[in-house]
Amino acid sequence: MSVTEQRYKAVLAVKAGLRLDIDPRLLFDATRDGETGNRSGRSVCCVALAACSVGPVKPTLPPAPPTNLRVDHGDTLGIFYTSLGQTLLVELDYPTSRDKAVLDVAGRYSNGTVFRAAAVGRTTVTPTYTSTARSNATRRRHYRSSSW
Amino acid sequence: MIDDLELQNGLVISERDQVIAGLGYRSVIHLRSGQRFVLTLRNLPRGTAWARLTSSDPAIIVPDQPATLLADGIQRAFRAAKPGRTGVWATGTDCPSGDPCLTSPYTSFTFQVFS
Repeated sequence: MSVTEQRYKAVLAVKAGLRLDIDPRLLFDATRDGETGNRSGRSVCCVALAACSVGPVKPTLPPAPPTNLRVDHGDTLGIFYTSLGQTLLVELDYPTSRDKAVLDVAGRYSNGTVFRAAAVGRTTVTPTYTSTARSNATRRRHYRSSSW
Repeated sequence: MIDDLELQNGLVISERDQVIAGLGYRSVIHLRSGQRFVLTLRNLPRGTAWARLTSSDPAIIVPDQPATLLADGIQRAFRAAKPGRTGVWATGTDCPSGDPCLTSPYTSFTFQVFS
Protein backbone atom coordinates (compact mmCIF):
# COMPACT_ATOMS: atom_id res chain seq x y z
CA MET A 1 0.00 0.00 0.00
CA SER A 2 1.47 3.37 -0.94
CA VAL A 3 1.76 6.19 1.54
CA THR A 4 -0.97 8.15 -0.27
CA GLU A 5 -3.32 5.20 -0.33
CA GLN A 6 -2.74 4.47 3.32
CA ARG A 7 -3.46 8.04 4.37
CA TYR A 8 -6.62 8.13 2.29
CA LYS A 9 -7.86 4.95 3.93
CA ALA A 10 -7.08 6.35 7.34
CA VAL A 11 -9.37 9.32 6.73
CA LEU A 12 -12.13 7.09 5.42
CA ALA A 13 -11.85 4.92 8.49
CA VAL A 14 -12.19 7.94 10.75
CA LYS A 15 -15.30 9.01 8.88
CA ALA A 16 -16.79 5.57 9.41
CA GLY A 17 -16.10 5.75 13.13
CA LEU A 18 -13.42 3.07 13.10
CA ARG A 19 -10.05 3.14 14.75
CA LEU A 20 -7.07 2.72 12.53
CA ASP A 21 -3.56 2.79 13.87
CA ILE A 22 -1.11 4.27 11.43
CA ASP A 23 2.51 5.21 11.76
CA PRO A 24 2.65 9.05 11.90
CA ARG A 25 5.99 8.97 10.06
CA LEU A 26 4.16 7.71 6.99
CA LEU A 27 1.86 10.73 7.02
CA PHE A 28 4.87 13.02 7.39
CA ASP A 29 6.56 11.29 4.49
CA ALA A 30 3.47 11.73 2.35
CA THR A 31 3.47 15.50 2.78
CA ARG A 32 7.12 15.60 1.76
CA ASP A 33 6.41 13.70 -1.41
CA GLY A 34 5.78 16.43 -3.98
CA GLU A 35 3.35 15.12 -6.55
CA THR A 36 1.93 12.25 -4.50
CA GLY A 37 1.58 14.46 -1.46
CA ASN A 38 -0.49 17.06 -3.34
CA ARG A 39 -2.83 14.44 -4.75
CA SER A 40 -3.19 12.99 -1.29
CA GLY A 41 -3.97 16.41 0.11
CA ARG A 42 -6.80 16.99 -2.37
CA SER A 43 -8.31 13.59 -1.59
CA VAL A 44 -8.21 14.24 2.11
CA CYS A 45 -9.89 17.62 1.63
CA CYS A 46 -12.75 16.06 -0.32
CA VAL A 47 -13.31 13.35 2.25
CA ALA A 48 -13.11 15.80 5.12
CA LEU A 49 -15.70 18.05 3.50
CA ALA A 50 -17.99 15.09 2.89
CA ALA A 51 -17.68 14.10 6.51
CA CYS A 52 -18.57 17.59 7.68
CA SER A 53 -21.54 18.08 5.40
CA VAL A 54 -25.04 17.88 6.90
CA GLY A 55 -28.16 16.20 5.56
CA PRO A 56 -31.21 17.99 4.23
CA VAL A 57 -32.59 20.51 6.68
CA LYS A 58 -35.82 19.21 8.25
CA PRO A 59 -38.75 21.61 8.28
CA THR A 60 -39.80 22.77 11.72
CA LEU A 61 -43.03 21.06 12.75
CA PRO A 62 -45.63 22.69 14.98
CA PRO A 63 -46.55 21.12 18.34
CA ALA A 64 -49.46 18.69 18.38
CA PRO A 65 -52.97 19.94 19.18
CA PRO A 66 -54.69 18.66 22.36
CA THR A 67 -55.61 14.96 22.16
CA ASN A 68 -57.77 12.57 24.17
CA LEU A 69 -54.91 10.26 25.11
CA ARG A 70 -51.15 10.52 25.26
CA VAL A 71 -48.55 7.75 25.05
CA ASP A 72 -44.86 8.23 25.74
CA HIS A 73 -41.87 5.95 26.22
CA GLY A 74 -43.17 4.90 29.65
CA ASP A 75 -46.29 3.35 28.17
CA THR A 76 -44.89 1.29 25.33
CA LEU A 77 -46.39 -1.96 26.62
CA GLY A 78 -49.85 -0.59 27.25
CA ILE A 79 -53.38 -1.15 26.03
CA PHE A 80 -55.47 1.96 25.47
CA TYR A 81 -59.20 2.06 24.85
CA THR A 82 -60.27 4.73 22.43
CA SER A 83 -63.71 5.39 21.03
CA LEU A 84 -64.44 6.49 17.49
CA GLY A 85 -63.11 9.87 16.52
CA GLN A 86 -60.86 10.17 19.56
CA THR A 87 -57.24 11.10 19.10
CA LEU A 88 -54.06 9.66 20.52
CA LEU A 89 -50.74 11.48 20.78
CA VAL A 90 -47.86 9.00 20.56
CA GLU A 91 -44.54 10.49 21.65
CA LEU A 92 -42.38 7.78 20.13
CA ASP A 93 -40.07 7.68 17.15
CA TYR A 94 -42.10 7.80 13.95
CA PRO A 95 -44.83 5.33 15.03
CA THR A 96 -47.05 3.44 12.60
CA SER A 97 -50.33 1.59 13.08
CA ARG A 98 -50.59 -2.04 12.02
CA ASP A 99 -54.23 -1.65 10.96
CA LYS A 100 -54.66 1.77 9.40
CA ALA A 101 -58.40 1.23 8.87
CA VAL A 102 -58.78 1.20 12.66
CA LEU A 103 -56.23 3.82 13.66
CA ASP A 104 -54.45 6.04 11.21
CA VAL A 105 -52.02 8.93 11.37
CA ALA A 106 -53.79 12.28 11.54
CA GLY A 107 -50.60 14.32 11.62
CA ARG A 108 -46.96 14.40 12.63
CA TYR A 109 -45.78 17.14 14.96
CA SER A 110 -42.67 18.29 16.74
CA ASN A 111 -43.59 16.41 19.93
CA GLY A 112 -45.10 13.26 18.43
CA THR A 113 -47.58 11.72 16.05
CA VAL A 114 -51.35 12.10 16.38
CA PHE A 115 -53.53 9.12 15.48
CA ARG A 116 -57.30 9.18 15.02
CA ALA A 117 -59.62 6.23 15.73
CA ALA A 118 -61.52 5.50 12.53
CA ALA A 119 -63.23 2.14 13.08
CA VAL A 120 -64.01 -0.33 15.87
CA GLY A 121 -61.22 -2.86 16.03
CA ARG A 122 -57.86 -3.72 17.51
CA THR A 123 -54.46 -2.61 16.32
CA THR A 124 -50.88 -2.20 17.45
CA VAL A 125 -48.81 0.96 17.17
CA THR A 126 -45.13 0.28 16.58
CA PRO A 127 -42.44 2.94 16.88
CA THR A 128 -39.34 3.03 14.75
CA TYR A 129 -37.01 2.49 17.68
CA THR A 130 -33.72 4.28 18.05
CA SER A 131 -31.07 2.46 20.04
CA THR A 132 -31.72 4.73 23.04
CA ALA A 133 -35.44 4.08 23.00
CA ARG A 134 -34.90 0.36 22.76
CA SER A 135 -32.54 0.47 25.71
CA ASN A 136 -35.04 2.44 27.80
CA ALA A 137 -37.86 0.09 26.89
CA THR A 138 -35.79 -2.89 27.94
CA ARG A 139 -35.07 -1.33 31.31
CA ARG A 140 -38.74 -0.60 31.86
CA ARG A 141 -39.76 -4.13 30.99
CA HIS A 142 -37.29 -5.41 33.53
CA TYR A 143 -38.63 -3.01 36.15
CA ARG A 144 -42.23 -3.92 35.48
CA SER A 145 -41.56 -7.59 35.86
CA SER A 146 -41.01 -7.03 39.56
CA SER A 147 -43.90 -4.70 40.26
CA TRP A 148 -47.34 -3.70 39.07
CA MET B 1 -60.96 0.95 19.30
CA ILE B 2 -64.36 0.49 20.86
CA ASP B 3 -67.72 2.09 20.29
CA ASP B 4 -69.05 4.86 22.53
CA LEU B 5 -71.60 2.53 24.14
CA GLU B 6 -68.94 0.21 25.50
CA LEU B 7 -66.95 3.13 26.86
CA GLN B 8 -70.06 4.42 28.66
CA ASN B 9 -71.50 1.10 29.85
CA GLY B 10 -68.25 -0.56 30.79
CA LEU B 11 -65.35 -2.22 29.03
CA VAL B 12 -65.02 -5.97 28.81
CA ILE B 13 -61.47 -6.97 29.66
CA SER B 14 -60.33 -10.55 29.25
CA GLU B 15 -57.28 -12.79 28.76
CA ARG B 16 -56.52 -11.31 25.37
CA ASP B 17 -55.74 -7.97 27.05
CA GLN B 18 -52.93 -9.49 29.12
CA VAL B 19 -50.39 -9.46 26.33
CA ILE B 20 -49.60 -7.20 23.40
CA ALA B 21 -50.92 -8.96 20.32
CA GLY B 22 -48.15 -10.32 18.16
CA LEU B 23 -45.39 -9.32 20.57
CA GLY B 24 -46.06 -11.52 23.59
CA TYR B 25 -45.17 -8.87 26.18
CA ARG B 26 -47.41 -8.46 29.22
CA SER B 27 -49.33 -5.27 28.82
CA VAL B 28 -50.49 -2.52 31.13
CA ILE B 29 -54.14 -1.58 30.74
CA HIS B 30 -54.59 2.17 30.83
CA LEU B 31 -57.92 3.52 32.04
CA ARG B 32 -59.21 6.97 32.73
CA SER B 33 -60.39 7.55 36.30
CA GLY B 34 -64.08 6.69 36.59
CA GLN B 35 -64.03 4.11 33.80
CA ARG B 36 -66.07 1.00 34.65
CA PHE B 37 -65.11 -2.42 33.34
CA VAL B 38 -65.91 -6.10 33.71
CA LEU B 39 -63.01 -8.51 34.00
CA THR B 40 -63.78 -11.94 32.57
CA LEU B 41 -61.63 -15.04 32.74
CA ARG B 42 -62.33 -18.44 31.27
CA ASN B 43 -61.27 -21.50 33.25
CA LEU B 44 -58.04 -23.08 32.13
CA PRO B 45 -58.38 -26.41 30.35
CA ARG B 46 -57.72 -29.31 32.76
CA GLY B 47 -57.26 -26.81 35.60
CA THR B 48 -59.05 -25.75 38.74
CA ALA B 49 -61.86 -23.27 38.15
CA TRP B 50 -61.26 -19.61 38.92
CA ALA B 51 -62.82 -18.57 42.24
CA ARG B 52 -61.53 -15.08 43.11
CA LEU B 53 -60.73 -11.81 41.41
CA THR B 54 -59.02 -9.44 43.82
CA SER B 55 -57.77 -5.88 43.48
CA SER B 56 -54.38 -5.30 45.07
CA ASP B 57 -55.22 -1.67 45.78
CA PRO B 58 -58.98 -1.08 46.09
CA ALA B 59 -58.39 2.67 46.13
CA ILE B 60 -57.12 2.52 42.55
CA ILE B 61 -59.24 -0.33 41.15
CA VAL B 62 -62.48 -0.55 43.08
CA PRO B 63 -64.49 -3.80 43.05
CA ASP B 64 -68.09 -2.80 42.28
CA GLN B 65 -69.76 -6.17 42.83
CA PRO B 66 -68.84 -9.61 44.16
CA ALA B 67 -67.38 -11.97 41.58
CA THR B 68 -69.84 -14.08 39.60
CA LEU B 69 -68.91 -17.69 38.92
CA LEU B 70 -69.87 -18.73 35.41
CA ALA B 71 -70.15 -22.20 33.95
CA ASP B 72 -66.83 -21.75 32.21
CA GLY B 73 -65.13 -19.00 34.16
CA ILE B 74 -65.49 -15.98 36.39
CA GLN B 75 -66.30 -12.32 36.02
CA ARG B 76 -66.36 -9.27 38.25
CA ALA B 77 -67.21 -5.61 37.77
CA PHE B 78 -64.63 -2.99 38.75
CA ARG B 79 -64.19 0.75 38.48
CA ALA B 80 -61.01 2.78 37.96
CA ALA B 81 -60.76 5.37 40.74
CA LYS B 82 -57.63 7.05 42.12
CA PRO B 83 -54.79 7.58 39.61
CA GLY B 84 -51.99 5.09 40.07
CA ARG B 85 -50.83 1.62 39.18
CA THR B 86 -52.05 -1.64 40.66
CA GLY B 87 -53.04 -5.16 39.76
CA VAL B 88 -56.03 -7.48 39.82
CA TRP B 89 -55.24 -11.12 40.39
CA ALA B 90 -57.20 -14.31 40.11
CA THR B 91 -56.88 -17.59 42.00
CA GLY B 92 -58.68 -20.90 41.89
CA THR B 93 -61.16 -22.66 44.15
CA ASP B 94 -58.29 -24.53 45.80
CA CYS B 95 -56.95 -21.28 47.24
CA PRO B 96 -59.48 -20.34 49.92
CA SER B 97 -57.27 -17.85 51.73
CA GLY B 98 -57.51 -15.32 48.94
CA ASP B 99 -53.76 -14.96 48.70
CA PRO B 100 -51.92 -16.53 45.77
CA CYS B 101 -51.25 -20.21 46.52
CA LEU B 102 -48.53 -22.32 44.98
CA THR B 103 -50.99 -25.10 44.21
CA SER B 104 -53.63 -22.88 42.66
CA PRO B 105 -53.79 -21.40 39.18
CA TYR B 106 -52.86 -17.75 39.28
CA THR B 107 -52.95 -14.89 36.83
CA SER B 108 -52.93 -11.13 37.03
CA PHE B 109 -53.68 -7.94 35.12
CA THR B 110 -51.84 -4.65 35.57
CA PHE B 111 -53.78 -1.38 35.47
CA GLN B 112 -52.62 2.21 35.16
CA VAL B 113 -55.30 4.74 36.05
CA PHE B 114 -54.88 8.32 34.85
CA SER B 115 -56.99 11.36 35.66
